[in-house]
Amino acid sequence: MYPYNLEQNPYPSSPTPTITDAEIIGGKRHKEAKAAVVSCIENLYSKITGTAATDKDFRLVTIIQDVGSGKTHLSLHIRGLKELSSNTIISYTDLSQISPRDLHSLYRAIRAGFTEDYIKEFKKSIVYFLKHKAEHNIKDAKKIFNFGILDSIQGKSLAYKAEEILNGKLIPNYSAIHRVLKGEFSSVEISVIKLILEGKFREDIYNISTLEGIISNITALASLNWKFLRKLTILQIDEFDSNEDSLDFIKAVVNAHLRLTILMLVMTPSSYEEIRKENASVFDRLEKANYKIDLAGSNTLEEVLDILLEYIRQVANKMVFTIDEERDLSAKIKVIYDEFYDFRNIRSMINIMYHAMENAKRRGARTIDEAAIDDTIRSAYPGLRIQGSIMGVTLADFMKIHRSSNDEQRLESDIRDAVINLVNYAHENGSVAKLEEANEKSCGIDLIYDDLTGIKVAVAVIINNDRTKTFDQISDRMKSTISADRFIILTNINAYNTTDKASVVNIDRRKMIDLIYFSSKYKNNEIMLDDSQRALMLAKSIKLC
Amino acid sequence: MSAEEKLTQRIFLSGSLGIKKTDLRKEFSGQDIDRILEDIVTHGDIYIDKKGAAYYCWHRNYYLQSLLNSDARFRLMYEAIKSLEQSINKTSDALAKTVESNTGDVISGLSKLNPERGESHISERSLSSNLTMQLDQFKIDFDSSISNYSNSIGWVELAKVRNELCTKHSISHDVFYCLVEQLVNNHSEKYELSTGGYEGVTVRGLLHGFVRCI
Repeated sequence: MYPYNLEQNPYPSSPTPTITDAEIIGGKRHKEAKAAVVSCIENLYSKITGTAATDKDFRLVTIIQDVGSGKTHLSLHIRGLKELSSNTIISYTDLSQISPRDLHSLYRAIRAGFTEDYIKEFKKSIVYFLKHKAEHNIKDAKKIFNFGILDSIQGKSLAYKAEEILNGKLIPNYSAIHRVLKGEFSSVEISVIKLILEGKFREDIYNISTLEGIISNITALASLNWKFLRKLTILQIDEFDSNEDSLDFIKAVVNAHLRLTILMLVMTPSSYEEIRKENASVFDRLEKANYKIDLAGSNTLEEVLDILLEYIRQVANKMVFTIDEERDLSAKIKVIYDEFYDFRNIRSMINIMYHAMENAKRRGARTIDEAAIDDTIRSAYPGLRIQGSIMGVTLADFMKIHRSSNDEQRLESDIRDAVINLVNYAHENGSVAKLEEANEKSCGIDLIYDDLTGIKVAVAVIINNDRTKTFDQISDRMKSTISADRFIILTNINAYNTTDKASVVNIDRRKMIDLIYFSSKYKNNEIMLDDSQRALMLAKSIKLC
Repeated sequence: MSAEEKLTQRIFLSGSLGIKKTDLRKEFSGQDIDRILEDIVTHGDIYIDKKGAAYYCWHRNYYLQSLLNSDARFRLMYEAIKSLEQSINKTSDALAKTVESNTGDVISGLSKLNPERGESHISERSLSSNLTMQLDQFKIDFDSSISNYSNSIGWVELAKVRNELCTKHSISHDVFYCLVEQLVNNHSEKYELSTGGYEGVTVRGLLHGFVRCI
């Protein structure tokens, strides 16, 4: 059993989303973007219903955002939306998978982007439509089914014949189809109908030799989708870029104002800029898109958190995955997000969560606990070091120390011990003279030592706000009661600057963690050669030597 | 309140129009106005000047305004001097920034020359301190540049911003991207980077050459 009583790991493990992964959508921005697309579809649908479609019934939608921001996820989610299945037919095309790229390969990809279920549904509608005509003795409609007297004698109905066509057991009379439909459908539409009945919808590409022909076919397809299924046609084109053929193709589609169609182009800001440079005409058309879907802020903490939690919310029992559990998990995710700039994106976070889920399951943990995250980071990112860490603290160690540093009292004593250990280590390496016994604890002095030039140095460690009020007092007392030549105050309080009283060295959280990390290694006799150089560097960085 | 104070107060209340000396004599009859005025003029609290045929008194807070209102030549000269002052201030600011930036570059260069002496971190700290000083002003100009250059969806190539700000702040290419990185890391809720372009900030091994404000 996975944490939160889940039977399966809710997080996907693939680096790019699949249609199944995209069933769940989280995050305020993503949900707003989805709502915008759904609204576009519903608007167009309600506008057309009851009236004849015109050139104005075409929509252009652009989704422009950086890689890994969830554009593909959003597109696939829309494609799989149940609420849209009754009024849309969606073809999803990933241009990055098409090479070489020319008009034919683009058109083939668009056709391939329709689902098998759609083709079956379309075929069924056509056959039933023809059956209806045959039942009403319209022209040669019965001939389409090769329906004769013998069939009547044998008790075979038109419904039986229709089923045979659908099951591929009967080949319809194509010349009869043409005769029956020619008054009602265009020749291009009839050829598309025949392709569907023949089962060659995806294959017959090369009979169309020109861009004009391709546009006519897409127009016919959209028109048939409406006539037979009462559905709008949506063409989703992912990874759209400045490729010349792609631009020509899209320009033609936009210029054609394909009625009953929504063209959805998905690209990165970089591609958008390249298109601007490459083809001003296409860029102008993109600028005038009906909807410009914006996923601004898709990598903010708020968005990342909501997306991650949504995966669990969708499948977990609310009694198990409570608000408190959400809050607890959010706090853990926030630490990773705050401290590691490289993880400030949804892909990396989902990967961590996937592994953490697996880890927690192996250990039988009821929730995603710290150990699960630590182990994940250790195993999935073994070489990762904290940015700006002098000691080269690993991510996993950072997490561990970070958690313990939440206890303020413990933190101050740990830092004090670490500074003493660091000066001792510097002494062992000949960088400072021996540490004196500090009897001035009451003065707030934590250690006194001589540097290599014989200057006596007194150091006070002041962490957090408890002792801020006594900051100046310590400085004064250091001056008046201790015979030191140099005074150093190590503090994480930014409110004070170096004065004539004392040299103030600000130590941020990373430096504190460096100190604690060093101290731990020092106490356990684990200092290696590389650590030694880093430790002396650390001592210099806080002016101890 | 002494006679001097009363007189000063009365002149102050007359604002930039001032008050005739003869009117003061009438108002403060029985007092040696000339002597008192002489004393206050000596302290620099009031000014006495001839306007038409009469002598007027102004408080020091209003005398300049009175001159600007009444004397066109004085006003022109005053504006010329103000403009000169602003120009000197700007030049001196730019000079300070150049010196600051060059110092940072020199320190950075020195740190590369002497890494084995363990001085690199000190240099970095000095450079970092310079960058921090610049960061606030840089942020204002960076935001302004983004809003000037951004396309319809808000994105802008960092190279365009760099061109403008490097000239304006007299900073190097490297310092510019160092500042951008700091800004974006410190204000992740405000800025967004995007991959692509020919120059920019490297995140997760990918060159991010576009930016926008969220």
